[in-house]
Amino acid sequence: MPTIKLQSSDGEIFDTDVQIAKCSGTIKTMLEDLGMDEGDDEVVPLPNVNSAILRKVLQWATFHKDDPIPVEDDDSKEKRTDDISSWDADFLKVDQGTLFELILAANYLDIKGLLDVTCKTVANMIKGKTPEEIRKTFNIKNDFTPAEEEQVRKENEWCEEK
Amino acid sequence: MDSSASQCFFEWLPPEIMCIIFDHLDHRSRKSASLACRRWEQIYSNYCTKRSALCNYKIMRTGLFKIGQNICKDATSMLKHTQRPYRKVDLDLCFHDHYFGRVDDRVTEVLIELFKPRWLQQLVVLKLGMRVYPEKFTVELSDAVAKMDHLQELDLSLMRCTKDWPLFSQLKVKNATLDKLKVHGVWPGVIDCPNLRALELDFPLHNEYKQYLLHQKEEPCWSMKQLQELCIRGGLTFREQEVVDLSTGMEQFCKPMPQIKRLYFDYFIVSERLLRIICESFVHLESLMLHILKMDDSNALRHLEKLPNLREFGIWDIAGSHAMSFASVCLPKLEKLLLGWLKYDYERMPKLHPMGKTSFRWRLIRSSPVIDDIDKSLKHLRFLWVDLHLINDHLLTKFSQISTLETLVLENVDQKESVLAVPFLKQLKRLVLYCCEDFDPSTIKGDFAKRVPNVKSIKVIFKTPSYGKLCMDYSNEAVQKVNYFPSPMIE
Repeated sequence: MPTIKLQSSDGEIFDTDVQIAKCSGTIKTMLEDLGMDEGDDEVVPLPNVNSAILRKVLQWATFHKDDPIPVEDDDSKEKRTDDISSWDADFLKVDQGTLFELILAANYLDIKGLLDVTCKTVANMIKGKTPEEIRKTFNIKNDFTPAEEEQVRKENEWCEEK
Repeated sequence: MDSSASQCFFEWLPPEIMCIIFDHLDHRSRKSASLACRRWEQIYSNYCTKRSALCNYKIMRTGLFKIGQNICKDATSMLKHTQRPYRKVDLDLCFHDHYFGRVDDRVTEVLIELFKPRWLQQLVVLKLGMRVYPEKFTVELSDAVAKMDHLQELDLSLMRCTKDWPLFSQLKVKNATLDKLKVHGVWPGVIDCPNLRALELDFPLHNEYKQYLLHQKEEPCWSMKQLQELCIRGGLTFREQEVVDLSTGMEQFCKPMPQIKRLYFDYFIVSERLLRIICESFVHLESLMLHILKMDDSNALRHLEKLPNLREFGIWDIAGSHAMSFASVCLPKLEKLLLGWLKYDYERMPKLHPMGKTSFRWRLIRSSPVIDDIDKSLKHLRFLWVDLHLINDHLLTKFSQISTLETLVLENVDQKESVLAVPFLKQLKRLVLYCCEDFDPSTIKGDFAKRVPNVKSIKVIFKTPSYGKLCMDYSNEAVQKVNYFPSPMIE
């Protein structure tokens, strides 16, 4: 099976199945644009992803390599968050730091499925919570003045989905 | 990156990823999130203006007895002070007051704020409801609309007094960018919008309307040549419509805009004669939706044959003692047929708008069944919406003969027997059940799913929110997933 070499920000080389690496839109474009051929010994540098996260990303991509390409179907406008598969849910049982690094990596590498499921996971951590509970969950510092906070409350009262 | 326990990792995320997370939240949770810190509010403030409106209808509803003074004061202050760059504004300024003069003053204050340059530049969608003597604001409103450089949708609603209708004839809707205009209780004297594609209006029944279309046989006051979509709402009750002959008026009305592609009638009884006039006038129609069709005989649909491009057709209900038949009608291009609820938009299914007055629609009394012979003539039907109250089980079994059918929506699936009459439909790819609250979901477990082997996910929409909790994932060989949605109408 053809492989390519991916290099993480901390210099680790990952011999990766081409098909799996191409889950990443960024890598796919790189290979095509640079005319890199399989079997070339060239290394694809990924300066924005460290080895721990890249390992996780590749683990995810390996499991999902046979997934159909996500299609923008009729349901695209309805964003559900209760449809995370049990494998993904287990895979994402990680500390917040890792979860957010995975989001950034998925975004940088352009892996739609991973970006989606990680964002969903974060959304589920926000859902149904009060502002104070949200701050507590994510260590957010409340930097509003009382007057500003009141203004946002008022704004929200006047803000309706249309 | 440092991942110490006291760090907030959200600081890493760029706004565009925050927006993806917002996408996955419900409106309420998003509002909660906006209160977390300044940065979140900043990001949300830009995000929300894409999908939300500055709007007071919720406030109106909670403060039912709020007097106009407060409503207007709040609206004025909000328009003045909001930090969010709203592009949509939806203001309901309809309220009672014993002294009309006072109401006018309050509304004037709101409009002065709304017509300041900031909003004129920013507005993309404006909905405005008023219950005042509208002549007062004609000039200001006309001027403001002309200055809105980005306006795409304008919705003007005026509580009207039948006697002096049409009101507001001095109103001029002149705008370069406007795409969609809805006027309710208002009949603008001038419509001059080169980009207007969709128009919705009340059909005037008592008045001479020709003057609006033909301005002393010279320049038309309404330039309608570019219009693609027209929605006509009945200006009278059904009872009144029964006694007024609308045909002549409609004939004159149709003539200046033969290019219309989509035509909708809401709260309107279309007689067979009217249907003939429509079909002869709007020969380019691709989509036709009727609220109620009053038939003299069962062949009323033959008029549709004059519409060679017709791809979508819908009827909400049928009046008269005849069953409607598709038997001798040739509609070679028809792909979508809706027999039931017409306010349907598959793309936005989970987010249907509140139905407003349409939720109080009543059906006419008639003998059943009302529709017969669906299968023979409709060779290319891909989409079918059927209210089970309109057909009998026998007809349901015939759907298996429509080999092109991909999507089937069954409305009012409240009786177990109706669902069980669904035949084996191998061709079907999407099935939606639109249910009443009595519906028992266990009905579609097991054997039922085997009749639609190629449907991967049955969508079940309930009309009450109590079933919203039933988000169970349940699978069998044929159906991998059944999605439940709470009612889109009761929110």
